[in-house]
Amino acid sequence: MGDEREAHEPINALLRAEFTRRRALRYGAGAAAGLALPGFLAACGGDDASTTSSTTAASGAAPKPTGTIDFFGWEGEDLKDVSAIQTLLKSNGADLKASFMPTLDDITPKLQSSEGTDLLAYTSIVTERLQTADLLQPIPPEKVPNVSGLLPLWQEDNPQWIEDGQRLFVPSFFQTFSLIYNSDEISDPPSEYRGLLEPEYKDQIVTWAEPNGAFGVLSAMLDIEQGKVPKDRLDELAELFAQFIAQSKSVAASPGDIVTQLVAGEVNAVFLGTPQFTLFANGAGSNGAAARDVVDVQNGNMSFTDGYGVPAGADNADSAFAFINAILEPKTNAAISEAFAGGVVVEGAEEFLPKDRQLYPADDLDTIFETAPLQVLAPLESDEYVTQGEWIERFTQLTS
Amino acid sequence: MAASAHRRSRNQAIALSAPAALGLLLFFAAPIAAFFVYSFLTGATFSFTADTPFTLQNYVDVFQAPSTGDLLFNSAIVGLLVGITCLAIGIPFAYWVRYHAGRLQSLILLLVIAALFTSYLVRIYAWRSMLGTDGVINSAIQSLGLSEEPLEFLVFSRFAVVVAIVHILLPFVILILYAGFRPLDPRYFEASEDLGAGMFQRWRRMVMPLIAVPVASAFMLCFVVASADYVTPQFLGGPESSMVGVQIQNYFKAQGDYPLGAALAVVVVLGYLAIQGLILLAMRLTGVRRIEWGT
Repeated sequence: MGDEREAHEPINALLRAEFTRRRALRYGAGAAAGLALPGFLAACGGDDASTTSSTTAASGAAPKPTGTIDFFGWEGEDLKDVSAIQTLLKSNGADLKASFMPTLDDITPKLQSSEGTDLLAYTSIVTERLQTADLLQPIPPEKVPNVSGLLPLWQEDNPQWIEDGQRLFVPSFFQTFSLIYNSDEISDPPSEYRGLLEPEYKDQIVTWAEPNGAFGVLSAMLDIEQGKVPKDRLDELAELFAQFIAQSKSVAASPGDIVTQLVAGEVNAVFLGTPQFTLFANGAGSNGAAARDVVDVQNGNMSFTDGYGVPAGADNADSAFAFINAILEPKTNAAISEAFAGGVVVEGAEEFLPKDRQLYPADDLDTIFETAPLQVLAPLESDEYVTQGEWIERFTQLTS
Repeated sequence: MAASAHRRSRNQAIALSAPAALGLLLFFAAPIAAFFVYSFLTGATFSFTADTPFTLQNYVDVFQAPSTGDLLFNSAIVGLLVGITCLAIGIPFAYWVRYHAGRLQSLILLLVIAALFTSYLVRIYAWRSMLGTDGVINSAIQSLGLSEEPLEFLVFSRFAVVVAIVHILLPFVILILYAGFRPLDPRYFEASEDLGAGMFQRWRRMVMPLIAVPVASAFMLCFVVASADYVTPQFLGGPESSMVGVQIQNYFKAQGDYPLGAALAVVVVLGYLAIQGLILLAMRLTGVRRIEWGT
């Protein structure tokens, strides 16, 4: 146990580093320079091994952003604090009008009820579902040449990003779910979620009211393949979740709510956290919590990828492609990963991350995704596997 | 001449109420009617089909869902507790403002309205701070020596949900009840006192029948808004405090089954209508609706 904790120390050291807006901006400024530099080098005939993809971008194939980009997605992923992106928009006279979604479930109603959204920031688990409803358009590689710099995992055929050979989703960073704890109160954190079920944590934990996340993590804990929970194991899954509910002081409606409870000292641990919550909890000024993460949670965890897509009804798609291309510049990608406490998705980006911020080593992705497989949603319809409707019904039953 | 004046007055009334009626028709009646139609269609993912004949299957599914009973129960209990608490505080307060606040009446009503100026979410978070383990109330209780440990039931509980929603709805209730008391001349109280009625009898036989209609309106407002609330329980409720609004949201947004969500919404609306019907029936049986307001 002690050894395991020691193994977590680099990660915790990373998370102890206070995240500040200033730091993000400062880093963003560096990224802005990084964005401009490859073009300059290319123009001068210079070469830089770390900027292979950027050189491609500098070929001029990527469109330039113009007009207003209507953004819809996760808060913060409009990247208004990443100055490389802001520089790109401003230098081309473009601007980004953002509206944010509280949950992934808000995307479909939004896109179905109104057109004009140009850029979507979401988690790749819903790509297939959006595509089924014909809500996405392909992202042409010639307009986003930097996709060639993506790490191999995100180049592979996977319906979360590539469907029938067409790219629908471009990642910006990835994360695993994590076990967050207050280090002032918990000196010896569990290395797996089941540890939170010990009597000492009774009414000390908060669970995130995120049915899909719970479904994935609980499946992993029961060693069931993501998205393929046999119907006869639904009760087992629900019983396990019921134990966490019984142990919880509250079921939090949102990440912000989890951070608030941590900072207020209402709870000392989080079931279904992410390193991003920890970052925000620690960044809450003098009231910040002494929050730490167990990122490499053992015996059941999962990961997810956030990124961008372009809705089928986009009327400024080229500008969205330009935005997406820019986030794949190694320095910019590092800035984004730092801001969200995630892992980089682009070759050569990791070297731009400060050492104490390298939460997910890029050369060890296999191990990371073996311990925490990529999240997959329950099917909408199936005779064999638990459907999303069945799980949500059970989730609601357990929380009512 | 009298007929012409009556016609003019009626036309005026129609003209004045037309915008409100149109608004209700467009933004309330039409969506409810659309939901009613949806509830008989067959759901597809984030869509529906009208290919198959109208079906009652959505209603069957709603009533067969194991969570429906618990959600409706939770919602009804919260609605009931909020309604009763708001009336218990609102009736004496509105009475006091109407008959005993004197010149301060307008100022007090302004302060009541001012409570509405703060955003809904801010008030929910404020209650969390006050009711929290290290909150003002727990700190006071502990420093007064009333308890050694913080009272855990204060936050993340049904108690916290009811307190927050009462705080949110109380200004509306006070305004409705004040409007109810407004036409009730203070001389009625003097007359009933002269006739030998004690305070209890005065309230039971005179005041309550006369303000029964606004009381019923205030109660229904509280009951409907509180039981349909799905935000407050998520922020202040305990781990098992979901209410029916959460499930309607899930059916629409998470499952994309619009007809199923519409069916549950229609069930809830019918439940409200049934309760309203029961209240009207009770008022009719007790004769309070026959009382005419004095001028």
